[in-house]
Amino acid sequence: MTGKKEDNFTIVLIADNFDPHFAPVTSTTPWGKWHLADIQLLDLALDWISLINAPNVPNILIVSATLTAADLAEFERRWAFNFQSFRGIHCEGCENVGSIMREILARRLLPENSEFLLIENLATFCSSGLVQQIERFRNGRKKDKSCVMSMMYSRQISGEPRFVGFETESHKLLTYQGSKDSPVNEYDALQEMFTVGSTIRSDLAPCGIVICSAEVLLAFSDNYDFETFDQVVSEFLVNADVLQQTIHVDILPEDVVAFTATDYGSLLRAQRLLVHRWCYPLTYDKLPARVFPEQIPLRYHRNHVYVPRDEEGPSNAEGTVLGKWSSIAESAVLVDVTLGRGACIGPGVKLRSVIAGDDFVVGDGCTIDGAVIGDNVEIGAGCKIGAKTVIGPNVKIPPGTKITSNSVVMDSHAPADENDIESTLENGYYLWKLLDEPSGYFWRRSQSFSRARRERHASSHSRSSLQHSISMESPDQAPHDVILDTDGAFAHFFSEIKDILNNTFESENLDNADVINKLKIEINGSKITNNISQEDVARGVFAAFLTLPPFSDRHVSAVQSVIAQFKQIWLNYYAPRGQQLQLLRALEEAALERDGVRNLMPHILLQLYQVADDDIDLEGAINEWHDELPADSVLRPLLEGFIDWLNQDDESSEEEEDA
Amino acid sequence: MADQVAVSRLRDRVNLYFHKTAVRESSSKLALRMLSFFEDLVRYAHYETAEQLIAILRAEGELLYAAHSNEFIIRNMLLVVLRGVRDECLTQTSGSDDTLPQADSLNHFQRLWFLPAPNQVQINSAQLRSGVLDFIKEMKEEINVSAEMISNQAGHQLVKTDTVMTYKLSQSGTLKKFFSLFRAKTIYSVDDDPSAPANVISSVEILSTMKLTTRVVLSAAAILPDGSVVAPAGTLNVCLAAKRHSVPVVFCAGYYKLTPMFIPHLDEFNVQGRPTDVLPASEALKFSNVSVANPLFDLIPAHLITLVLTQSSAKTPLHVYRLISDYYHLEDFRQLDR
Repeated sequence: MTGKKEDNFTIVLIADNFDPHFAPVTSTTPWGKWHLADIQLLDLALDWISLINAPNVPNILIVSATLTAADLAEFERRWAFNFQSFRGIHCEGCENVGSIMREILARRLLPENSEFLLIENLATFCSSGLVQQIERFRNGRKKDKSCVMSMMYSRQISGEPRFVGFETESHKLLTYQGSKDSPVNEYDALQEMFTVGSTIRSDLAPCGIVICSAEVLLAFSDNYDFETFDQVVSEFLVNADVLQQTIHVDILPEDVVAFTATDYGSLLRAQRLLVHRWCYPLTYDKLPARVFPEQIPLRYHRNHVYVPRDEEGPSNAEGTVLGKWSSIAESAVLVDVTLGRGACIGPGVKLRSVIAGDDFVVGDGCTIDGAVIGDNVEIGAGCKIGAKTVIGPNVKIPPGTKITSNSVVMDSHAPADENDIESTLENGYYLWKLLDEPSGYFWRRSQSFSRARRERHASSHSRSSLQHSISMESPDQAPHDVILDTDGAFAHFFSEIKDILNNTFESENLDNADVINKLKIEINGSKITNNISQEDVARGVFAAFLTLPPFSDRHVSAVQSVIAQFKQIWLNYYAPRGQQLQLLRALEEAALERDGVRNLMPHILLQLYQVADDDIDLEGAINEWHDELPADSVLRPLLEGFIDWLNQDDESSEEEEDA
Repeated sequence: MADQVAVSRLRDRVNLYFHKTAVRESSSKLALRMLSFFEDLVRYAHYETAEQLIAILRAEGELLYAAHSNEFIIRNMLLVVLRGVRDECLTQTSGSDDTLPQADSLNHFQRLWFLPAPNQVQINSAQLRSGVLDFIKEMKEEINVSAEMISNQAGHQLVKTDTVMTYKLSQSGTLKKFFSLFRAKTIYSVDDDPSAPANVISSVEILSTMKLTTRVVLSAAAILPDGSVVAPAGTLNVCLAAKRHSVPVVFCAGYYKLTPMFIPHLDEFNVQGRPTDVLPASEALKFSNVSVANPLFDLIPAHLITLVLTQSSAKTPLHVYRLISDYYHLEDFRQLDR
């Protein structure tokens, strides 16, 4: 273990999956702890990673935003002996690979100018210790410092063809296509492709293992927009002549099997390869006993069936990995199946290409072909689950259901802060659809995905649409007034308007028409300088209005009079329905944010309604807004009385009591 | 609890050893490593009586064997060491250097009258320790010279004018030693790589070459008490052909390969190798309904074998069981489980 000269070789492992397609899995379990049969993914990864660069013993650095320090300590306890040094770091709040790399740089987790091997996806497996590849990279660096990265390529398993172009002799990367949906830029390098001998291969895929030098880390920190590794690679390619940095393409030899799973389909294929021992010596029966919950390892049976050591194997299975305490009927047929513990498979069931979690109960006669299933799922008898389905944990599917292919079945709505997933309720379970995918499918990343996502996020930022699900207890809201989104222009506009309104209010001659006109001009001026849309103006003005002193003093009569005084403003800005809705949303947000406004809300609405009564019709807008409020919103009870009154069209001027 | 830490460190280290050896290395090296492991246990663990030592060794051995249940050698070495401990205990209590074989039941019965059982005897643990360590050292020595001692018997079994057939000569340390010390006129090696010091033939030529052969000499991976043998995959072909042509089959094995266990069906114990040895990696996903099996061992039934050569003796398969009592103690068989 000691005595080798260059042993500061570190392996950097990112134990997270930020891909939104994996949200059904990662919303409940951290990626490192997701299990295949009884084995956690991180254990499976560490099993082959500990053999990298054998016989030298590597150092390892595991960085994760989803695994807690306690989890990492557990893994350290199991694996520290296999590595020269084992560090598990938990980074809070990182949302993509780029921010994790920046954390690593910021915290100086790697020694200066050291080389490291980066594995950014845990579901990457390789059958070799990569000794020659590491050697080659190091020698290459000694000769020529411009080679900053060496990407391993091998035969691909993911089914989507990708191409890579490199110089035939030096293996310098010329063109790169990271994933199907990333745009292929036109580089100056294209010209090079015609002048030097170049090879373009479409049968290779990056296998997720990259040997990097320290410059790669710096590249991440140079540009905060870099979220994925592919972007850095494109950056290097584009600036090849300027920065003189080249990337080396290392094609793994024929007898080495290496692959990475980037979507569900390739995950199933990867599992099949592992079960069929292609990744020897990484096989299920050679995993050390300590990674299993009760230290009972798996034993190999004929036809690639792996069963815990003290249990009997199933009768009709091939390519199967079982967890403990499984009970499988005689007539069930399992092909390429991975089950967690406590599985209970009824008679006549046909499972093919399934990865299932713990306590998986399948009724008689079901057919499942190609699915990834979570823990504690119960499938009734006679169901037919289509191909390419993802089923989340705790789902109970009633007998006889037919689930169409490409669906994602979960037991609850998408998490509250997840605004990229749309969920609908059907038959007792929820179907999730991923926005930005043409048909909402999670199974595979389509070509237009990244672009659609970028566009949608960009437009939502400029529109500053409010989210109805803003949590009231969120501790990270700043103590000042209204938190809208982070768009700088709007914030700027808002603060200007606030100042203007406060000044006008303090001047106390609001009855003067000139003052109101001046106010309007100033608001418009601010709108133009900050380039704000009309709807945002509507929202901002009312939000700023709600910051005036009467609202914090909670004097009902003062509130009423100030609303009346600003009547001209309402008539000017809030005639169209859309802008009325914006007014109401601003009111809602302020109400959720501040108690004072919340309690005053019915009074405000009443006063607005009355003030605007003759000239503009607020009733429709108020009803529409009320219907859109989430069912469990705390504002509903307070508004009950007012809405009832409004709909009765009662002309009484009595005020409603607060709830 | 310093000894607990030491023991767990030893356990970690031996597990690491197994983890790192991807390709199964030669049995003698594995046996030596196992003996070193048990030796370290004896040296560093804390115990007062022989009974405690036996318990510690058995616990650690069981754990290791459970993790790698297709490596018989682990269990064999454990049994050897346990026997050594019991013998040492006996010599110390009886004061004599003379340990009679257990198979001599009359004597055993007689001794029961005079000597107390190991757990009731207070022996000097330091003496026990040194005694057991000496025993283990002797055993290691025996492993190291086993190949030579087997080859010394070659003269009794073969003559120089024999035509000998063997299997994968260059992969077996025992066989290489054997043939370097004994120069037969012609040696055929089946399925070997071309650089072997023999005429290399492929397995399709086994039957035609068997007509010319006078002896078949093979190396075993494990010897089972019913006389059957676990040998590298492909050996079964050679043995069946030899039976057909009535050619005597001789198996060589060191004592550490003696496995006191019956194996009804080798599937449960067989080690599978890499599929890339059979099909190139690019074919991996092409055939979705094909499983590639690459078993490393064959089970040769006793009726195909003529002789089993160990370093101390040459026995017919029917009498192999007698060797068991030379190396192992009856008490230990009863409690070890699979």
